[in-house]
Amino acid sequence: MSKSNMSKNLALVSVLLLALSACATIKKAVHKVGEATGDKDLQKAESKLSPSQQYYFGRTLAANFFSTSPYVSDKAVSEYVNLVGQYLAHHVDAGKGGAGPFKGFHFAVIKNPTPMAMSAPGGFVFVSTGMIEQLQSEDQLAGVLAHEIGHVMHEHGLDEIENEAIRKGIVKAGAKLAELAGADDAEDVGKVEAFSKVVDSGVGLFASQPHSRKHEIASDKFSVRLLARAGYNPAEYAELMATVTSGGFATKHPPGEDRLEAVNQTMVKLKYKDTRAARKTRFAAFKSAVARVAGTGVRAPAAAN
Amino acid sequence: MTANNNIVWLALKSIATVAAVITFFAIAAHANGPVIGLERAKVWAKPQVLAKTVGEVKYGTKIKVLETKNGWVRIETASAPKVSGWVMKNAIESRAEFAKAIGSGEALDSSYGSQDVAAAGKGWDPNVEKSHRQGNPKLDYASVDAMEAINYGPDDFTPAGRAPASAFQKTGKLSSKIYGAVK
Repeated sequence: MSKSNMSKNLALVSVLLLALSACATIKKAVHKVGEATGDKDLQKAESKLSPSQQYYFGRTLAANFFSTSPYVSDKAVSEYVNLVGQYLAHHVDAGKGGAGPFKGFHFAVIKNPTPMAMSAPGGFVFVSTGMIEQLQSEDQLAGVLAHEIGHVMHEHGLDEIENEAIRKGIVKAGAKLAELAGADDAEDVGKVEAFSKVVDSGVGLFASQPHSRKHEIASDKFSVRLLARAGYNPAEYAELMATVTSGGFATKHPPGEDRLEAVNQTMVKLKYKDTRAARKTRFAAFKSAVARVAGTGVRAPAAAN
Repeated sequence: MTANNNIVWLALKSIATVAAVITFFAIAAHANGPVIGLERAKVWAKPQVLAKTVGEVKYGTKIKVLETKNGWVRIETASAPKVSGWVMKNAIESRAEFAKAIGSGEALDSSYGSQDVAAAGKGWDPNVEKSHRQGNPKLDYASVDAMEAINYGPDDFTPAGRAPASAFQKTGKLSSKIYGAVK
């Protein structure tokens, strides 16, 4: 090898080595926040949708839910469910993602006779008129909302799209739509329609897929702790789960004994006061308002006992 | 050109290349520093929800991380207007995530190919939503907007806050870890 070639190779090697070490620096920089806070989720966050992307994705999911289960716009209903939900959300510990989603949490009652509660990434939480009909107290409503807050904070919805290709498909479809925004010739409009179908398939996947047992239990424990932090009685949530488990009423995705056991075990370790009676009147007013808008003859809870 | 001149020239070229590479990666590394990841992040004087807030920092603002404590992060904005104080840790995201969200070419994401990075950069923003809405008139975005219009911040639930949230804790006798006990 000539002196000149050796120099060239040495230069190349030094550049490559520097480039490699610089790559490591970049990767480190990308994870800087996660490292600084010691937060593992934050460290791997770059592979997930960012908070703003989750928010816009969640908006589309919400718009989709509302097209089949209408949003209940009655002021008494929408105000109350948000007072309970947003009051709870402010009690999420800072160490567990306290600042919440991109624009905070928002709650909606949907007109649907099936008892169900759902959440979408970006802080959108839904509870059906059918579910409210079955609830006996504000504490039970708070338990259901806290459970959904748990799913959003833990990003269970995103985690449960196990097929990476589907997620990439959704992201790509979104990108293509953006690229074609404003396109007005027939061919491009056709492309937008085609990509919208891909997006819809992702929406359908989110709406129909139940959460895994592991995620349900994690959200149950989260819910019980959040209830106690906020001043609610977690025993009401345990009672609701026991009713559902014993076949008291049918839900879309019923819990099992394992979830009830996890709730009871978590509850034993918590301190809370029983002030349920103070919330009976306002919950009864809420149920009456829901009954009015749903037209289902929702019954008010039994008298205080 | 003599052999010695050749070596000197190569050495200078190598140094220039190395310097260029260092500069490039230094810029790239800086571009991946932390930013605010929420639409508006509250900044508190102390790491407590009901502590005095010293301001709000908008989405995408570059910040410096100074200290961390129990899920809280003490930050200061990298440039004017200067804001410094505590934010919750999930109010922060990496510059790479931000770049991906707004469609900047600065994104570097090892989990996606380059096409995916470019795609992700343009994904799920107001423009995508606009196109999607045009193609799907049955989707009820108006109700999503109505749902989002109801907002009660942490301060609204204090007795000095905004009705009806200001009375919510007291009338419900909710003894709270944040808002205190109710007799």
